[in-house]
Amino acid sequence: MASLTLAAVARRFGTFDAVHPTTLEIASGEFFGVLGPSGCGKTTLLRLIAGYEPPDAGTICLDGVDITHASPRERGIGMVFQNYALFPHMTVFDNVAFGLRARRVPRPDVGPRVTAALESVKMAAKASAPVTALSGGEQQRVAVARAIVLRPRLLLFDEPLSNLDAALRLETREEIRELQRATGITTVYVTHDQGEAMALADRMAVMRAGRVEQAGTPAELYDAPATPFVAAFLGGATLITGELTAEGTLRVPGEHPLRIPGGVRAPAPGPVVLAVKPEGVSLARGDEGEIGATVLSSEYTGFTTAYRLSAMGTDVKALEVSSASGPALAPGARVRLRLNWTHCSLHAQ
Amino acid sequence: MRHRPFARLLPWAALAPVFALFVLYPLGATVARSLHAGGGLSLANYAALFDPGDRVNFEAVGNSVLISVLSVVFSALAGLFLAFVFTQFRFPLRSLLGRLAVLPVALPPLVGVIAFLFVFGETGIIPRGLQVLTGASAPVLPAGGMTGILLVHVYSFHVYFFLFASAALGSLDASQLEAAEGLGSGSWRTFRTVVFPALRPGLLAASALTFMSSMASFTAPLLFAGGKHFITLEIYATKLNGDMDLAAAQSVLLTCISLLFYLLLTLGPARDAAFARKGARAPGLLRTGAAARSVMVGCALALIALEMLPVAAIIALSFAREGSWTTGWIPSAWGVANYAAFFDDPGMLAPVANSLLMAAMALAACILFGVAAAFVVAAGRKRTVRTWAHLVLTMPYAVPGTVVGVSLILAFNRPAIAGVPSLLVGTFWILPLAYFVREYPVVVRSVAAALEGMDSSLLEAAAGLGAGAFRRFRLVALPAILPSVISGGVLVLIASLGEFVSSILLYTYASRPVSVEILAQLRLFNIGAASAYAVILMGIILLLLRISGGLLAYDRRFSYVL
Repeated sequence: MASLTLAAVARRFGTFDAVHPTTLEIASGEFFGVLGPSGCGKTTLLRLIAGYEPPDAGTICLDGVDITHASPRERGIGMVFQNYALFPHMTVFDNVAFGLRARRVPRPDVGPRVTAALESVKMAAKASAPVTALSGGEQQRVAVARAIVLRPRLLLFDEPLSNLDAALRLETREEIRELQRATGITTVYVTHDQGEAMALADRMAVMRAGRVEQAGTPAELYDAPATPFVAAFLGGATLITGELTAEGTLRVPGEHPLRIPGGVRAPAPGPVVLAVKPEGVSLARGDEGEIGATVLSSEYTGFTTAYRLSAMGTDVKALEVSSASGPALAPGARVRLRLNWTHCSLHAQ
Repeated sequence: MRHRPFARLLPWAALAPVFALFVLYPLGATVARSLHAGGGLSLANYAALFDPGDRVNFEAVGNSVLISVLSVVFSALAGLFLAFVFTQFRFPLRSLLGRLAVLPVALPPLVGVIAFLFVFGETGIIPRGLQVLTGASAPVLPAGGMTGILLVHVYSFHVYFFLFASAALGSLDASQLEAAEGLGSGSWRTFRTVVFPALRPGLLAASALTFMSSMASFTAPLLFAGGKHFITLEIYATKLNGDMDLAAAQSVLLTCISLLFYLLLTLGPARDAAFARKGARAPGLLRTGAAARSVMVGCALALIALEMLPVAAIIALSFAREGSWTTGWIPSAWGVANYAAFFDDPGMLAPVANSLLMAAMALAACILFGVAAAFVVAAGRKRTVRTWAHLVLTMPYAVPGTVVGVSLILAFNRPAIAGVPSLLVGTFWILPLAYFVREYPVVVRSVAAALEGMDSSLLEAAAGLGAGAFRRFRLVALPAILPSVISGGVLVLIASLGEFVSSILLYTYASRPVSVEILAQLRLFNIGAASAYAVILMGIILLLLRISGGLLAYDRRFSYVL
């Protein structure tokens, strides 16, 4: 268990800045998620922490000790790779014992520790199986056991569930969370799946194009996105460009200026981006809405109905609780929209 | 699927007589003859082989084993080094150079050896060039004797290691190495426990192949051995002396060694199934500084330049005026006379025409028999049955060319077998027959692999849709195996066109192939003419590879050769 500090860590490949100077504080015992689309630098960030990439600038401290230039062997960090990186010619047991033997753990201790690690991921029964005979989910468990058997101070996960099917992904992610709670190992978990990050992380960072856009608890990020990107990536918000007037109204394409209620955090007047989460749009069946819209498509999923609407010069996503509203609207229907400002945010452009 | 017994027995019925007559009977005749001495059944011939008092035979076996062990060691070093450089580093023209690196396997054995002789031999360009440069009284560092043979072997056989190791290193996942490092493993431990196990199956296979090929090597000892004895040369010499009993015993010994290694090769450890690779980048097994890396890439490039030299030299020498290469380090007069001669005297083209005709005949036979044999192999229900059927049907692959020659002589030098005329020795037919026996296993291997990889549910689906056996073969199985038939066929053609080892034992003047003619010209010191024949042979092979490369644009094996 250790705290991790990244101070202005940066990595550049040729002329491409994979990670811009990045500063992060991860507390001891924390489960920290790193979320972002593919190519945003999140895996590079993880590899910098693990020591597989040397940073071009900045320092990395584990429990206050500078490990920036330590080799991966010296860091005492466990990593679970996206493709698991199990050694194909070894059994499950030998894979898990690999690190213990490499670190010259006394022979009598190896067996019990491997068995304990395999038990914690419910794989003890398959200890003597070759890893090539395992299913994807089982391989994933072995990879986790191999990492935790060394009792690392820090555990890194690089999209560990991306090769599993949907049902197994849900089950495994709960197990990972349980295991982390039980062991208390500080964990950094990289993923592109916002549901996974929100469900698992105590705190998380959203990355884009090599930069951390925002870091905080999942609720902080969801409720108060700092940038339009965070609102769109995490909350699925529709982004609408508009202009904030000095009088405190918002001009959006094709509509009368919208009045912004008090209490909504607004940037200085000028060009702005309005981020509207799907649950922030309600469809009025009558005439009382302030914005005109046309239904493009609707998708009934039981509890909720999702709409795609043409409004304010763009495609707007909306989500309604099916039972709380009227019958589903057919494509082509003209409706009025109302914005629920607690699910909207305004950002300077 | 429903199998009619008739349909299942048909390929066997077609195969069995051919296999019995042309593979089993000649080998059996050789074994029988080897046990024949002094008019009765005896082990005397074998006793002679292992008699330390019999210097020649004992030395021949010893030298062959020694050269084979050395060939494995040095081919492995060269091949592994090139494989490391080509998979670990990025440098300009890497993929083109990688293809050039495998060129030596596509050279006909005799062409490779004489090209090597012209460049590195005692009167070769480099030793004489160094002599001129240094003012020494004799050629400097000529490759001859054991060293010469070893160099020729390494020249040809390091390609096996290069190909096997490149494939293994290329499929090694970078994250496995990173995982090992992160788990606390040092470089040496990671190499020993992660990298080496990935290389091991390929290394074993390449070693077995190299040992087998070195034991069977005939051309290099023939031109480089000087007074030294080698088992293949002894078989040839004993046959020329007319002592067929001893030649048979030597052949049986050599074949047993070869078969042993072929067994090892076929039944050896299977490669571990590789995991899916996702997000893996170029692996960096070697953490090297820029200087070390430049030195290694430089060495690799120098090796490949050395590899190209013999080919370049033989092309250049084909333009040398006959008799103009006497004391200089290169010939003194040049011209196109060697090629013009082919137009002045069409009779000179006879060996080329012979080779083309005989290779085409061998090709037809190889495809007919090879495809049928592949279907027989693939029909086996159990894996072990398939493996053993494959092993037996491709057995001639492990029989050295010299032995094929001797066994065919022993089998078909009598006027009739059971009343059927069977005197083939001394006729035109014996050479295409030898090429067929030597080369058909290539087609079996290639097609059987394709059938193994074919989804059997395709045939079941076709049957379910109402297609009969012939339609299933024509519309489903044939398209699946056609690329393998073509690639196997091209290999048969290339090998038959340049075949030398059996030919030298079996040819008649009227049916002499290109390779035998090249040796004849060389013996007359017609270096230009020998080179011109070699260049024509290489040209035909190049053309074949080009054509088949076009036919098989997607076939990796060929994209590798050219």
